[in-house]
Amino acid sequence: MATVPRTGILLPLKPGFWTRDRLVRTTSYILALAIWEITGRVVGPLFLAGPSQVVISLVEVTLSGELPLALLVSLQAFFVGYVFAVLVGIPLGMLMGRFESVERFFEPYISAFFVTPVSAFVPMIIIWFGIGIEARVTVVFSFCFFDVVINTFNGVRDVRYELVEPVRSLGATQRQIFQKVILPAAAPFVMSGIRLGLGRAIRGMVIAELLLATTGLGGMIVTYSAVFRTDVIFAVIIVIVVLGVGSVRILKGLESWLFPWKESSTIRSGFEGTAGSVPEG
Amino acid sequence: MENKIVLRDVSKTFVKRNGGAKENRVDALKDVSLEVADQEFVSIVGPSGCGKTTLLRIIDGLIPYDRGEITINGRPVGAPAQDRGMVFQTFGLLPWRTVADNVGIGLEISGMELQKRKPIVQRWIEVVGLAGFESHYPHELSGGMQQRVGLARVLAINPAVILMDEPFGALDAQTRELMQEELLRIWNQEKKTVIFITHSIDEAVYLSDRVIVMSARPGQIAEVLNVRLKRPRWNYDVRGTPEFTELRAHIWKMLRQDRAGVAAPPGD
Repeated sequence: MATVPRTGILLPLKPGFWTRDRLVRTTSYILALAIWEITGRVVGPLFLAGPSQVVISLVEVTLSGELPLALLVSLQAFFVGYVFAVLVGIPLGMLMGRFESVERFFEPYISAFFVTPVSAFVPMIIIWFGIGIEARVTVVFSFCFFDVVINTFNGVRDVRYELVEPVRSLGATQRQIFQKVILPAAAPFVMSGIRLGLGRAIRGMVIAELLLATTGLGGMIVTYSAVFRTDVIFAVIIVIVVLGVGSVRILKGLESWLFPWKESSTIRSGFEGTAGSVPEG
Repeated sequence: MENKIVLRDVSKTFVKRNGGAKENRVDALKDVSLEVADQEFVSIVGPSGCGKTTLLRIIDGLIPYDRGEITINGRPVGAPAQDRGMVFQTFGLLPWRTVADNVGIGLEISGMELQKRKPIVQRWIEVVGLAGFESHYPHELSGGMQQRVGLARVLAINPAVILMDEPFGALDAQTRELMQEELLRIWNQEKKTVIFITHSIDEAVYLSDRVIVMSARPGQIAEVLNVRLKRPRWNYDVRGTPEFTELRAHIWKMLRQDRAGVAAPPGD
């Protein structure tokens, strides 16, 4: 997945803090904020609060304790659902990758659920679990579970022949082959599943709060949209973005640290949290 | 210890099922009989699809054979074991293991503890000329260096027989000649029995005591040639001797007949 170097259109810069990349990024941010602020002033805060107003409101709802409390409520459901999905998803993906009969047994359901929008099941989830934390946990779980399973499964199943053969040739047992070749070879894929699942779990967390229980961060959005407080809505969205980007960053850092043998380009390239960043086998 | 390899009428047929009842049978090997003496260096050449790699994998135990008999030192050959070791064309190193950990994996598999493994691993890393690279990862090494690790990994388990499947096929010409010479030195020192598969006639003649020429469909032994070039071969111009040229031309002619005129130039 090597990227083709592109020609720069900006003036060459002397080395220092202001590298070309930094300059482009900063310009982009300043421009976006300016457009946002100006548009906000033109249409009025009822439709779109500008960034200056959003920052003020962000500080307010943080200091009042409302935002931290909502964040805590959200994170509870997120954490339980996500950890549960990882703990169940990895072993299931491994079993499916290792035993063809297990794959045959589960594959149709996994494929079907993976392409179905989980939101379509929200009414059923309400019927089965009500609108309490169990329901939100279920939504988070079903949002990220399949990413974990499918990536783990692919990682275990697609371990290259050229890696297994030499170890088998040295007289390794099936168990040793699994421990010494398949597990370590699949580990970066498992990690990708964990990372992709994280992004989707955050999405699931917010959607659950929007669609079935007016609570947590999603609940704040619903509540404040009823009174047209776009400044607070944006403040909450910023928190969600920071939460998502931040946690994916941390996992990426962990990946490069755990798998130094993977060429860094395969781990770093691509947009964060997108399917395109699955490492090459 | 006597490390004689005996193959008697070894046959292998691959059956492919393309859905339904239709079967596609390919006779990869048909009645192959061969004896390789203790400490002998034997090369196998032949056109693509002549079953030479299949033969090697069968001897290693990676795939089963249908008929015939294979014994090493009188014992029949079964699943892969550490009395024989294989060097692969694609090196097959584990990318998450350092050089030292790749070399030691055979000993690890046989259950030897780390403290005992260490000096053995170190010794073989030195023999293949990789001292100083113990903690490097494979992707940090050149192709030639990676195959040195592949060779050290096999030498570390001290097998009686070393099977080499086009080990230098992925290397550039210069590295390849260097590796050939070093392989001969190591073989001379360690007294192993070697079966070496190659596409290069030149390489086969340079290295071997005998060259086995195989023909395709079904894979059979077409001819066995003795190479009587004086050893050691690294201290004179082997390739310039009349016998070398003659053998090379002879093998080339055989292979060309087999390929019925659709051949590439000699060498490789």
